[in-house]
Amino acid sequence: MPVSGRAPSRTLVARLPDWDEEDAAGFAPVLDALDLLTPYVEVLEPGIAAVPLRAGAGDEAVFCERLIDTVTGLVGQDCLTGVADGLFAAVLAAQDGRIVPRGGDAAFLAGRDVTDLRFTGLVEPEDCETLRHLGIDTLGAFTALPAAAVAERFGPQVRRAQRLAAGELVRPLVPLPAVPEFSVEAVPETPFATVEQAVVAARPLAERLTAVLDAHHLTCTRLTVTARTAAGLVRERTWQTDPAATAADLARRVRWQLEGWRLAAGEDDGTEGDAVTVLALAPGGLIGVLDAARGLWDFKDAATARAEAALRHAQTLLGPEAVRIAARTDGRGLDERAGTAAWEAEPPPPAPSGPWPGILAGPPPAVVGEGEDVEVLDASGARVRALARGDLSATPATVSLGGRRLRVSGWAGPWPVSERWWDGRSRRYARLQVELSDGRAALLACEGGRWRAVGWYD
Amino acid sequence: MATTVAAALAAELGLRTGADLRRAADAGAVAAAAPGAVRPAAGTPAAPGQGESRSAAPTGPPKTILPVTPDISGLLPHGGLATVTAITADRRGATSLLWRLLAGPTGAGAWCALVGMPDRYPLAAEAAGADLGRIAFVSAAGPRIADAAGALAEGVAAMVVPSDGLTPPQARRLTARARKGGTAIIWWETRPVAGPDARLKVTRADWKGLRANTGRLWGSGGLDACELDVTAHWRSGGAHRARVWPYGGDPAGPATPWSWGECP
Repeated sequence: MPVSGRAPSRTLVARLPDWDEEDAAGFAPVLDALDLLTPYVEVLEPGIAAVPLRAGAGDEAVFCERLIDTVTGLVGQDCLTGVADGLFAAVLAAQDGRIVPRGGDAAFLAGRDVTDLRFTGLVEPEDCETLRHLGIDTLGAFTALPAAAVAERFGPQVRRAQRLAAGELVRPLVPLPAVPEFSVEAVPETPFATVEQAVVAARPLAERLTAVLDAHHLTCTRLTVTARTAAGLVRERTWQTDPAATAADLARRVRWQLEGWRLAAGEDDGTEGDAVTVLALAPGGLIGVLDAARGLWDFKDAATARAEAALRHAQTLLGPEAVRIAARTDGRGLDERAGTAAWEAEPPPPAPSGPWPGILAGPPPAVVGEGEDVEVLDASGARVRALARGDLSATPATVSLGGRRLRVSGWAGPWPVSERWWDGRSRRYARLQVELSDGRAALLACEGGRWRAVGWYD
Repeated sequence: MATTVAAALAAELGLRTGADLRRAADAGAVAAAAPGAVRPAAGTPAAPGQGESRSAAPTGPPKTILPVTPDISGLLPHGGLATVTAITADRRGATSLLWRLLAGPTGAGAWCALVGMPDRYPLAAEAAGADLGRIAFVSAAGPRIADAAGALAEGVAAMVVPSDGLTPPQARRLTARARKGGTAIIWWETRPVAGPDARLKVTRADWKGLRANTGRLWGSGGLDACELDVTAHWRSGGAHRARVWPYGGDPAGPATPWSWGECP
């Protein structure tokens, strides 16, 4: 199958410069027109949409002409298109209707004005202004800055913008949301009084959905389950699904969701108002079956598929936020360094964007608590403070914790951290590792003269 | 556009609709069903349909044995993580032992889940060698712990459950379900559970790198390693000991067991 060795796809951004930003509904005919040309459309904001261009799909200039003619004919407004490898470059190219040659993103971006960074949505206008005052007035000059310095001075968001501007980071397009005519619904003559009745109806419903999608050579990566109750309540939830899911898989997903709602409703089920009058399934994130088939070639082994199904089941019972994945991300503090994201429901935490001077070496604490207050005392019982010059006011001898005093048998530090010293959100704290006489080891942090136990080595 | 491309390619492949391809996909799924990350237990055929031998469940060999790091393998009955293991939770260093225990299975691509265990710091798991991309942190409390564990027992390779989150009958049901499905349960033993195949207990935890630093205002050094003495009591009898360095730094060599064997 044509998977490996294929040139990566390009991104086209179509922009209506005179579009009234409030008018989201009026943009729908334009989207319909784009939809005829390609099944993937991402609306960046009303008036701006992005579509991917396949490699080998024909002459890009001709395609742009056709698109502009179509859109102009529909809404009677000027339309500009930009084509580039990455989304960010394509958005900028659409400002003046350019086609950036393949592989030319970095060169194109280098010449752009630094205020164009605001199109990343990551950079505040004030930061652009600051950069200009520093003599950085093109994206090229901005990307030439050392990564660590940018992260240090402006924070992780701007560092991510720097990677975008350098063409290193590419955000893939999000496929079009659910297409209404593909959704299927069951309207029983007598409302489903119990979950079991609704579950029985879910199977043929899922079969209808897959039949509709199959007829269009499509499959869905998201499934929205909607249930309306007799009391007028509408419950709705969208789930990621495996593109290779069968009707039985989708039906099982619906059953789990219905059971999850029953659990969430508590014990008082069985009332008239809870009866389900309409059960609807809407597919989302539609992709062609042949794209989905890529999943067939690097097929997940059975154990992974089973584990993912079990995690989805737990997610359905507890809510999508309950199943989380953790990863290392940007920051110095313990909680900043570890990011979490709801599994399959949120994008994973961004990977660390640069070196973070000042993070502690060695194994991190295994348990983070609520940061209970502690007191660090010297041999005479006086409080030990972390001083601005980077050491302590006295040698720590005991730590008072929850009413108990424990002798310090070993310690190291303090390691001071001073963050964002240039603006109002500045933070200064110092970290200290202590080993206590009862064998526990803790990471303490002193901020504003107050010591807290931020982590336990367990 | 993609639809027409799809149609063209489908026609080339001799398929008329997506439904045809789906059938082909199902056939592929069966062909690819051989277990990848986990190896089947010796003497247990991996073919589907063998799980019906319900009567043999409590005593029969485990369906799958997950690989663990060599420093821990001597502590476990089959040399790997299988069926029911318990970690005594109130011992210092127990969390580090847990992270090290998960390093092997997650490194081999098996999914592990932690249910109802808040405040665990994921980067410590990474430091102990675990792959964070294969650990699901499932937040649940009270009665939802049992619900979540029940759902997860259908498929994840290993799951960690605090034993006080379940009533003893629930715990028995969960164990039976996990044995049948081939999921390894690690009880985070906040309350004693009956009959785990192995119960791991940290007998001594020693943090390395901190010094007395008497009379100093800036302490040199820094916590850089951890040494655990772990004792395992097997259901089949006997105690086994090992010295584990969860975060590396073992002067005796990388991740080799210090000593283990039968102790009366």
